Amino acid sequence: MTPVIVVVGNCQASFVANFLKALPEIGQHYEIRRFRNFTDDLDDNAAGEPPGDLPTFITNNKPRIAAFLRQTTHNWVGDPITRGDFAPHTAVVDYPVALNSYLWPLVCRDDRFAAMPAALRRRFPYSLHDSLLRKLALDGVPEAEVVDAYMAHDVTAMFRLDRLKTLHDAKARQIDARASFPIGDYIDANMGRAALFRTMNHPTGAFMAEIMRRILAHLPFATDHAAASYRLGLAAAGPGIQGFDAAIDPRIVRHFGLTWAAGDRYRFWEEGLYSFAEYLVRLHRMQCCLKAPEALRLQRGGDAQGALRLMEEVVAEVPRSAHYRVRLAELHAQLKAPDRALAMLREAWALEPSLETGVKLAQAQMRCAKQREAEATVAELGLRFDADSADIAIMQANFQLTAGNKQGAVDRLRSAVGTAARHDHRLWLALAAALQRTRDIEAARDAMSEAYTLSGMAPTIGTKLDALRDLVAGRQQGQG
Amino acid sequence: MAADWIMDTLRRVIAAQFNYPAASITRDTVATDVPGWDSLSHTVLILKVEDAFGIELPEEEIFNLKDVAELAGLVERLLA
Repeated sequence: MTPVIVVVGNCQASFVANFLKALPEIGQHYEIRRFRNFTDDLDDNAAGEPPGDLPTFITNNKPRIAAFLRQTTHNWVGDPITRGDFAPHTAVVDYPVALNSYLWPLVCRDDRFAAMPAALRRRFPYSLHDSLLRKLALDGVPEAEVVDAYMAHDVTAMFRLDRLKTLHDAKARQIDARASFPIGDYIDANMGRAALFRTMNHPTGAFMAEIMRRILAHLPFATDHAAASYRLGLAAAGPGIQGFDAAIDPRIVRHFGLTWAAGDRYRFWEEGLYSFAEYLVRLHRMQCCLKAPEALRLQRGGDAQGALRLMEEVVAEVPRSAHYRVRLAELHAQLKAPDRALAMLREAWALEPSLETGVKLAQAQMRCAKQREAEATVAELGLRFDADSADIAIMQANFQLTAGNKQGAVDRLRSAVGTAARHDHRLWLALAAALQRTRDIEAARDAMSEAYTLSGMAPTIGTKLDALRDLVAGRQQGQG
Repeated sequence: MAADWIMDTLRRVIAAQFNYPAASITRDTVATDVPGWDSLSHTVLILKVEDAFGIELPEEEIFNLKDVAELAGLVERLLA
């Protein structure tokens, strides 16, 4: 009977559930089940998730529920579930919902969005809507004038923002009081100096990592601290929840002294980063690119030429998108045009230097025999991101291999498996391959065995492990 | 029971905040009856109510109001 951890809540709960699944000691031994805690409105359910029947699940699975993690909202919607509904061994943790109403006081439900097709509506969830923009649209303000018209209204004069914050903080304190641990202290200490919210109800990666840290402290399971800390580090460096920001009016940024928002760059899904003014125009137009999913579908279906044509249109339509440039580069590489792939990756890196893009750029540079450029890219990745990351270690090991230094590659990877990155199966896979090159087959087998376990027993790695085991057995028999 | 003028003002404020017909707002209206009236927008609504009446509502009470009648009653108490 597999024990189960039940996670209840919306977007933030999804992050919590996925995080727990990614922790080897929990994900491999517990079933993680998530239930939404409201179901009434598709606008609030961008992922279109089914609600599930939580009370019935609890009744039918009572003995195997090891933990019940519930997002504590102010207005609890749904059946009131109490401690008495669970077996004595079940750990019940109420974690507070993280919300912010004072950075986006103009959020509203805009009927223009509600009338859109579902695919488009999911790109413009409720937390992006803006009542002033809606009014300007209804007043027929043309696109060319919408930014000026919007900025002519001073949001700091429309709302007593400090009072709004006081009211919001009072609500947050009430939520904290009902939870197993508070988060208000973290918000108070960090709001001015670090990005905590991407939208009114989507915390950033850093904030979600902190919430997760506090949840883990309340779980009675033994966890591998190094693994948890590595994953928390990744989560903190990551985007948090979903791929979009609600742009913050620069006057609100100034009012609250949000030093972290000075860059004025807000993500609209994978279409790129936009300034507040650019974001306003996109919202006014309800502009987004729906060709990309079709291009990716063609790519998955094996129609690389068709995918390439469509993805070129996508990149032309959303020129700020680093993400789609990377996808276009993949298609160029697939169609044996490495120079075009490299050019596209350079553009993507210039737009938005992420770890994924940097790794792909370095790989493309290697394929185009530009090793010095690749080394420079990887060195920059080490400075910008986690120098201990598996991606960087693998790239550096590949440089050693290219230079003919097999032992140097092994040493680099051995050094990396001594860090928190040791939970990444790709590192062990690369180490096994490097060890094979040095003909240390037994060590290669052991490294492959680690990769196999950490990958969740991926069949392809299992096949490689079997081959290495056969090699070791053959060698031992030969020696015998 | 709160004075009619208080109810009329609340109707106007709620209707403007949520783009909802004022005529549909009664003393029995609860947040879930009005699309968009959730715990986040409730905070902004309270600010607008304070602005409309020139008062500050007690923070410990504003998140426990059950319906529009209770909000009206709280406003009336503060104006008395």
